[in-house]
Formats: sequence, C-alpha cells, structure tokens
Amino acid sequence: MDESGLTQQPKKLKLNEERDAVDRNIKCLQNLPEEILRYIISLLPTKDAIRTSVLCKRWEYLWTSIPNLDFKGLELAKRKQFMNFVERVLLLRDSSDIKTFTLSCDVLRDASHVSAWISAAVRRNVQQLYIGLYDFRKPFSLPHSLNKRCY
Amino acid sequence: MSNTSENPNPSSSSAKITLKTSDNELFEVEEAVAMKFCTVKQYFEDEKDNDVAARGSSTVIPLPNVHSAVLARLISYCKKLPQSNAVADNHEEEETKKKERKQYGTPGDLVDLISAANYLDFKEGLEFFNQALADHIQNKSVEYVRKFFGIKGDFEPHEEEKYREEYAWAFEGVDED
Repeated sequence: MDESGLTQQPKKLKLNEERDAVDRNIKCLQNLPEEILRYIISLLPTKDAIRTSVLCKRWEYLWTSIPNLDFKGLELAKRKQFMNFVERVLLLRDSSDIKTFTLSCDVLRDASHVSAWISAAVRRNVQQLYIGLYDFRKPFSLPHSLNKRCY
Repeated sequence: MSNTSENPNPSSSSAKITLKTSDNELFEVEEAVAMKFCTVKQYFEDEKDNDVAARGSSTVIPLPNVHSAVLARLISYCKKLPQSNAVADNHEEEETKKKERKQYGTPGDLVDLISAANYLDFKEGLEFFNQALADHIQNKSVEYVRKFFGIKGDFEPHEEEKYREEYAWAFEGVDED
C-alpha cells in the first residue's frame, strides 16, 4: 500500500535536481500570486498574520483582508501593547466581512473601547463571535448592534 | 529501476487517464485521482463532449505548467491522504497533521507544489500545501521567515522600526530562530 507508488524512485532523483534548480533561481514565495499569499496569511493566527506585514513592501497590506481575527490578551503587563494592537488592526483592516472574531481580555476601565471593537466586528457581518471578557470595573453592556442581530 | 507505467494494483479496472507534464513525461493515473484536479476534469469533460477521445485510456491531457517531479508528488499526496483536510478536532490530531505537512519541507518544493495545485485547481491540495507553508511562518521571527523563503526586506530601517513598535504585541513570544 505505502511504497507501491508507481513513480517514486526515479522521481526522487529528479526532485533533487529540481531543488538545485530552485535554489539557483532563488525561486521563492515571491513567485506566488497575491491571491495565494493572501490565502496563506488567512491560515495564520492574527498575530502571525500581522507580523508578515514587515517582511517586505509587497506583503505590507496583504493581511488586511484576513477573515478571522483572534485577540487574546490577558497579560496585564502587556495591556497597552495589546490595546494598541487591536485598535490598529481594526482600523487598518479592509471592509470585507469577518468570519470569526475572538476576543478574550480584561475590560477594566476600557469598556467603551472593548464595546467599539465588538461593534466593529458586527458591522463587518461577523458570523461567529467568541467573547470572553473579565474584570469589569463598571457595568458593561454589549453593543446594541449585537442585540439586534441575535434574535 | 522501476517501470513508471507499471500498475501496482492490477485488480483495479478503473479507467486511466494519461497526463503529460511540461518535461514531456507521461503519467498514467486513475480517473478518480485525476478528477481531483479540476483543470484536468474540465479538459476531460470537454474532450468527452467533443467525442474526440471518449475512451479514457487514450486521452492524453497536457499539463504545460507542471513538472513531472511536482506532479509525482501531487499524485502520491492524493493517494496517501484522501481525508487529509478533514478538520482536526483535537490537539493530538493537529500535531499529527503538522508532522505530515512537514514532510513536504523545503520552501522551493512547497512553492512548486502550491503553484501546481493552483494551476490544476486542486482545492484540497492547495489548502494542504498552503497550510504547510503557513506552518513555517507561525511563531517564527521575521528574520527567520525572510531567510527561509528568500525574501529581501525592502523597508527603510526607520520604517521597519516604526512597524515593530506599532505592532509590538505581534512580535512578542515568537520562537527562537
């Protein structure tokens, strides 16, 4: 069943030759069309997807159409970084629909920010919303726009 | 040396389709495998409609954008992993899948496989190899990804620095190179 592949042996040699050719031409990711690069980025967690923007100019804005966003920031020491990150991503992301939106963080005194983040997802017709909010300092209510869609 | 056209499974009487690669090699594959490539399927059906070569085995479908080395790997992938894209529902399964994807290793290979899967409109393959490539980006530093995939950073140092500050959170906790 396993090694019966009809073309395995001779092809392996070929593959090595091919690999050398590849190295010589420095054929790399840059050869792939933009739609494929976007596809690859969409398979990454949000943090990793955003990091690709620094790779080079061609990649700078490829992440902006990622359909799934996950923000998990429960470390108090990195609170400011986390807040900035979420705000920037939501601000710079394009207007395409969001499939899943995951948010897990302490609310603290930032209820209005957190609420706005959820609204931003709802406005992009989010299909699945996972929210885990902790440590409220004031009464917190979910955005009205969300109530309207959950009947 | 093994014969490339030998059929290891003689009991199978399913129709065969011959694919011709960019380097003029002929591959005789089972119809079920060939039909996973939508580009081939489309070509095959058009031929059938035209009634030029309805007898499967004599149909030769040219694939001018696919090298034989790449096609061989795609075919062996088709045979080995028929359900490879079923969603992993637990951590262990995900790890097993990651290992499977790792076998398709080097960036040059992956780029070739992805290009071919894209050209052949082979959806499961495209997802699988894209994910295999994404595995080499996840949790990796920018420097690592650039080196691994041969990408030249073309931002001015101050531009890059600015990005790293603005998205500082995304640069936390990546693996050691």
